Amino acid sequence: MTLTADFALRRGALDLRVRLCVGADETVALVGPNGAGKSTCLGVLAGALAIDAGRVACGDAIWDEPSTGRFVPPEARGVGVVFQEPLLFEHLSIEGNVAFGPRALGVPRGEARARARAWLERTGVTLDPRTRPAALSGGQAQRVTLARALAREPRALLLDEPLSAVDASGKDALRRELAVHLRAFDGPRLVVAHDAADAAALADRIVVLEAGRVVQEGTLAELAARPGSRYVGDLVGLNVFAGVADGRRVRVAGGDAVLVVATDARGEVLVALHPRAVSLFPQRPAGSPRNVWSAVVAAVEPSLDRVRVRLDGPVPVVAEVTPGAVDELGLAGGARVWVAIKATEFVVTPR
Amino acid sequence: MTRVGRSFPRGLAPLAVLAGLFLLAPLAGLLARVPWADLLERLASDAVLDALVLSLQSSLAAALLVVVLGLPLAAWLASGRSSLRAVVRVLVTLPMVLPPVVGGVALLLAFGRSGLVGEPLARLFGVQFTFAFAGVVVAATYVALPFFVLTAESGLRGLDARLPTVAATLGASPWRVFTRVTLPAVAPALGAGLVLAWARALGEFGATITFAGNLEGATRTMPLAVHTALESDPEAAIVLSLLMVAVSAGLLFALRRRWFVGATTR
Repeated sequence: MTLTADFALRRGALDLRVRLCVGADETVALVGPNGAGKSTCLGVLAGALAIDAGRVACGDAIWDEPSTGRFVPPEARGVGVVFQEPLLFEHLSIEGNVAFGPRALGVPRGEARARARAWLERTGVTLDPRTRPAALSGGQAQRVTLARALAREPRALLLDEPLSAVDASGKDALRRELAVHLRAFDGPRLVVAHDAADAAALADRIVVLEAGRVVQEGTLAELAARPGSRYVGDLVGLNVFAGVADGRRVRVAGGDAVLVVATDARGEVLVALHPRAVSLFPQRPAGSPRNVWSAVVAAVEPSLDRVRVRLDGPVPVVAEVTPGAVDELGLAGGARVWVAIKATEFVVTPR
Repeated sequence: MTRVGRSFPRGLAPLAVLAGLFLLAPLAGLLARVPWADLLERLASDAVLDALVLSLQSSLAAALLVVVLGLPLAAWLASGRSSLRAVVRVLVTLPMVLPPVVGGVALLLAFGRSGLVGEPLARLFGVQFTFAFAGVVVAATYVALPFFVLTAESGLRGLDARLPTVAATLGASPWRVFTRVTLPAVAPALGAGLVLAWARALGEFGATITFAGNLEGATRTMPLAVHTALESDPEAAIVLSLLMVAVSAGLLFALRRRWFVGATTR
């Protein structure tokens, strides 16, 4: 059973035209900048929003098709939804919350409660089933929410940034558990993800949504190999510049700076550059690099075992250096350094 | 513990104290004139008890009607934005801002014996509102309805729209979502609206005396009894007033947690 959506929807300033397909045994991560329309997409699939044109379907069942007037309301779609915030029913115990779905579907009270307890256990909630939602931590609340979504035995699972309301200390554990539950789920899964780590950990495939359009899809490695936009570059930690190529020279958009690259191209291109390929020097370096300019350190951010250095200059770039280099070069906000990049380090993609 | 962000500029203190004193003065004036010696005897008189029972019965009946009629209306008003809703909201708010006596005149012209609705009702079903308990309830419902509808609507509008959506995705029908999720979630707002509406119904005077009349034992509620006694027996009026203050304050105190959400310590 494949979840397919090919639709147009206008909502305020947002103009969505999306073609999306989630296979029966696959987890797709939907990523994109704020306001790109990710949550709206989720609302369309869940049945909270009706589309203007196109079709939303799950296997043979058509859920929404304005041309034929067909619209299946959310209660009849059989999708499990987990939102950013837990949105638990505060007047019910956690057991009551998880049993809500089965009860709504006509399962007798005792059986619904037993099912709720089983799902709470399976999702790692070891609390008293009578606990009120208000007493839960963010991570526990999201586990209960997941149990609630799974207990109604949905055909498809939709998660909207399920980790964003969880504090950093609980995030890693919950991400791992979530990955296990998603893999074990029999049916299409769609996760709106906030960052590359979540997307890579939870999903088989990443779909990038920008300004209401799908701009790129693939695995994280595929996206990193050829980032299709500045956003994707940021997502995978790369520098990405838009520009106009003329042979091996690329004029960077929004300035006079020219990059010398190693591949021939003409017209509009995107140039990607790994932060580790950016070399920093205290004085103007002699020798082979073709791209050299003076820059000012804007920010220094530790990142795992490396340090990311944001640099202002004719072309703003992020460099990744060792902590040792930070001391050696005296890298701190306002410091002046020389940037050098080899022409062969740029990956040029025509647009 | 003093909370940051809840500070109180001292310059406001004199006016705040003045406001408190202003609210206290009428109560003090009333208490100073209470005939304490024969208070119990006067309270136990038939006229007083009749008025009290009638007031409680009619205001509770009105409160019930207000919920039965007002909740569906509030739910519809909260369910979207349209010009029709804006018009209906004006209609709902009208009894709140109209002088009650004008409401009474309007009710008389609609539900009176020769009124637009009252005439057929009387002819077909023998229903009569003038000088009848039903009239008292109708008048109280008319003036109290806006308090409940507007409070309930604002509560329903404040509800996170994703909560009903979650319930729907769990397989709940719209009716089940409304009764099992929406209503419990907005219960504090409904409670507050109910208290406001009930208090308004209990204090109703102008519309009642104009529409239902002032007949002892039938339509003479506490406020009407106070008004009537003021001319013939001022001490009786004071006793009745004291009783109303006691009943109102008692109920407000009992319901304080529901009404002043966040203002009381648990």
